[in-house]
Amino acid sequence: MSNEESSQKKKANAEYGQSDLEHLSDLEHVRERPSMYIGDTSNRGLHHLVYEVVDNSIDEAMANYATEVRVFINPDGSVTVEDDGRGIPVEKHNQLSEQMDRDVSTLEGVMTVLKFGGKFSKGAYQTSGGLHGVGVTVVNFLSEWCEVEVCRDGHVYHQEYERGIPKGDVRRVGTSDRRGTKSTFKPDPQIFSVTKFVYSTLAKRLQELAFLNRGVKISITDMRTDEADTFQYEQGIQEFVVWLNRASEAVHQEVLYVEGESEGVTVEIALQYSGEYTENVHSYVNNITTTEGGTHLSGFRTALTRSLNAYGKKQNLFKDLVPSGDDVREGLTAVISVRVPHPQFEGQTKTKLGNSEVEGIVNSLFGDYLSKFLEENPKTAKQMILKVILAAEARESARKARQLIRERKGALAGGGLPGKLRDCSSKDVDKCELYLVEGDSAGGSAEGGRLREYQAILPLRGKIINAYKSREDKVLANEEVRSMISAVGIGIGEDQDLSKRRYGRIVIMTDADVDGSHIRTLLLTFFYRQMYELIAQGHVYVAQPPLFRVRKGKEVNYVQTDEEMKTQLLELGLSDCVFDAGNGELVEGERMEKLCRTLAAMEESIVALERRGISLKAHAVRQDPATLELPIFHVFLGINEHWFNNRAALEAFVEEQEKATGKEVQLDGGTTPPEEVAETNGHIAPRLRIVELHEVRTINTLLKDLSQLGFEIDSLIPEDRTGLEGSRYMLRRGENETGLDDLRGLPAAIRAAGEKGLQITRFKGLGEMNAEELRETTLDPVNRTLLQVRMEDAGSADELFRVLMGDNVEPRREFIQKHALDVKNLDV
Amino acid sequence: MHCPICNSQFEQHETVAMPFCSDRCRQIDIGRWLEEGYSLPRIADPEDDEEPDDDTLRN
Repeated sequence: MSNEESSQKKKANAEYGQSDLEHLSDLEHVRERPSMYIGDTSNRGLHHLVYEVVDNSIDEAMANYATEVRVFINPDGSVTVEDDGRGIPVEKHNQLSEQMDRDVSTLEGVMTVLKFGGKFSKGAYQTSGGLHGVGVTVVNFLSEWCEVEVCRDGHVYHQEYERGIPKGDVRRVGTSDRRGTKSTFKPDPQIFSVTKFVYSTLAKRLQELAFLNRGVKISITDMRTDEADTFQYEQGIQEFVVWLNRASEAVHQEVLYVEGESEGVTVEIALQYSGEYTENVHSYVNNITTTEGGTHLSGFRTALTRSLNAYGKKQNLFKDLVPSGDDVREGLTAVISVRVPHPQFEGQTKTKLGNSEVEGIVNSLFGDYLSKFLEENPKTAKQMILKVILAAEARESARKARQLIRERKGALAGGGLPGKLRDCSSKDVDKCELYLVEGDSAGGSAEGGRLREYQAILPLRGKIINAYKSREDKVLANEEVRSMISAVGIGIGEDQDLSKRRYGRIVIMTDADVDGSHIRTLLLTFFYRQMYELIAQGHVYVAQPPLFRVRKGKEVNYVQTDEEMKTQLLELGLSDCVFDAGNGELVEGERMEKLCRTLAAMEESIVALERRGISLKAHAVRQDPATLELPIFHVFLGINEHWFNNRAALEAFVEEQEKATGKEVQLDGGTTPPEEVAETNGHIAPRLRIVELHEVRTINTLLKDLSQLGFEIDSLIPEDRTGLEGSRYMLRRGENETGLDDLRGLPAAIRAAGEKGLQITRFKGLGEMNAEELRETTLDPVNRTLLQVRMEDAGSADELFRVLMGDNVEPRREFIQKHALDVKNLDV
Repeated sequence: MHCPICNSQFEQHETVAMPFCSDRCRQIDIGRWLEEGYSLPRIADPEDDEEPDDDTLRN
């Protein structure tokens, strides 16, 4: 310290009167108990110094006097905060000058007198942040040195301080056309345990402040590393919410936002639901984070739950579950920012707002807004409600699952296996099998026919419920699900333990009809979802019970599928049949066999064609005599119909149309013939509908085969014949003769011939088999066929299940119709 | 993979609750099984009550 400075200080001290002593004791008080003012003297308190200074600049910005706040971490570890606001007043402060008995600048008062700030004079700022007005004074008191430069009224003013004591008066040091305040301070290592500022800590808070004070530009530059960021958000906390949800999937696109004022309290709220399960709510009072919440937060929560529940009830979106406050908060991202003139802080860390009037203000303001928003935005409203319902369901499911596990533990202790289970006697898990059998009667047969030592039977019944007005649905009853879980023994979900399995194989045995396949789909989906490991390790099988019993004298055989039955009968019939093609030509041997197989293969496709309302006779007229092909494309354009044999011809037609009209042809996307001919409107070009007859592809291929065997398409169509010349074709088998009008009936006639002397029974369900039959065909490892369920199978069962379960009515109806006729496609 | 409950997309190695994205979704699923929330339509189509192949077989 130079002599001059020393004497100056002495002089200053000498001039200090009684009031100075009070101020000195302020300084001493702050330096002795810094934690009372800035929380602590470690990292948190250190960074807090910067925020205190920044808050003043933000107040200037929010009062529309400043546009920008700049923060620099200087190479020496000091920090500079600069704004382009009005600048702290520098003129003589009368009251203070009187007290001090010397001319004292307002600037000096701000820097050295506690609770001197403009924030306390009414009207200077409506509400402001800062640590309750201690602000920059405390920063000055806790700094090794501090300097402040004010540009105001064309001049630059400057004052320096050392540990809070001015090193001279405020001096005018030059002119400038800039405005604003620039403060630089170096935290005092005598006070702080750490004095090194962390860039990311400061940047994070400055970004938060930029979000909270929309439009204000805040930049930070680290002169030590050249790291820098600039934050400015025109949408304020709306952008804050988007930023908070940046790594999550938003449930709805729009960010809800409301701003309002009541009784001098201003409220700003922005929110959006994300797919997360946790709540992400940030609340602020006068820019201060209220980590313990308080009245503003509770007002918000009450209104949120109330409004969402009221809307959900009104729209009938809740079934029997009404979401709780916790459910409403799941996945909620929200920012609540209130400005309160006289905030009262409570709680352990003084970060809980205590002003009771704020609760009602936020509650009614936000509640009104949200109710209106939901009414006006039904799509977003539904997305929000569905998210909330899912949360409620998750809570309820978790409770049920816990209860189930508790019950199971209790049940296992008491040795309680399901009452319907007919367990096996062996304890050799790998050899043991559990048959899940559809229906009680089949269960009875299975119980009688099983190998008691290794095979256990659990009968399951699908329960019929009325799902919609005109539809019945089948579910797996709660009791059945529980029985299965208990019997299998490995538990569900998180608690799955494959080593606790009670059987080496779980065998699903259902009827070979649509209902049976649905129950199989339900069971496979259940195992796939809830006992994943069981499927992954290949413990699940599907039994293959026969569909037919074939008795020939005393010999009994079983046949599993329709296809196999047909093939067997055809082969039996072929062995001794001769076909008379009418012109005296006899077809037999290999040619006969080929003919039959070709016709049999064609049968299904012709039926499919006829189901479209297109008879083979009518379609045959359109045959191309050169290629023998029938048209595959049925095309509708306006009132005209067209037929094309292949895609090339179709494309040529489309091109021709486009040339004629000069417009691109529009497809209407339909795949079935239009119900009625579209009104032709001269102005609008009719749209093109293409119906593809997939089955004709098969027919075309087989027609060529047929031609090689010496028969053409007309042989498949009954001739218009007059007189009684007898049948066109004749099938001979020994002494028996069967007349045929066309070739289509040939495979059926041969099968009928093959059936002679056989007694064929088609089992309508497992229950029609007696215990012995079931044992012989399906249970006894010697004869049975088991299909092991692989992951893909279970996965496709799950896919199918999703289609069948789905809300989407159309694909569901389509699917059911398509597969209703073709049970084997439902097999997985 | 798509989670059967929330339909979010995830990779098998990212989850502890195959075939779900999370244990939470798995729990929702068990809840639905237990409250008989999963049902499949019984086929009301009259063709199913017959044996579709019987007539062609005996033609």
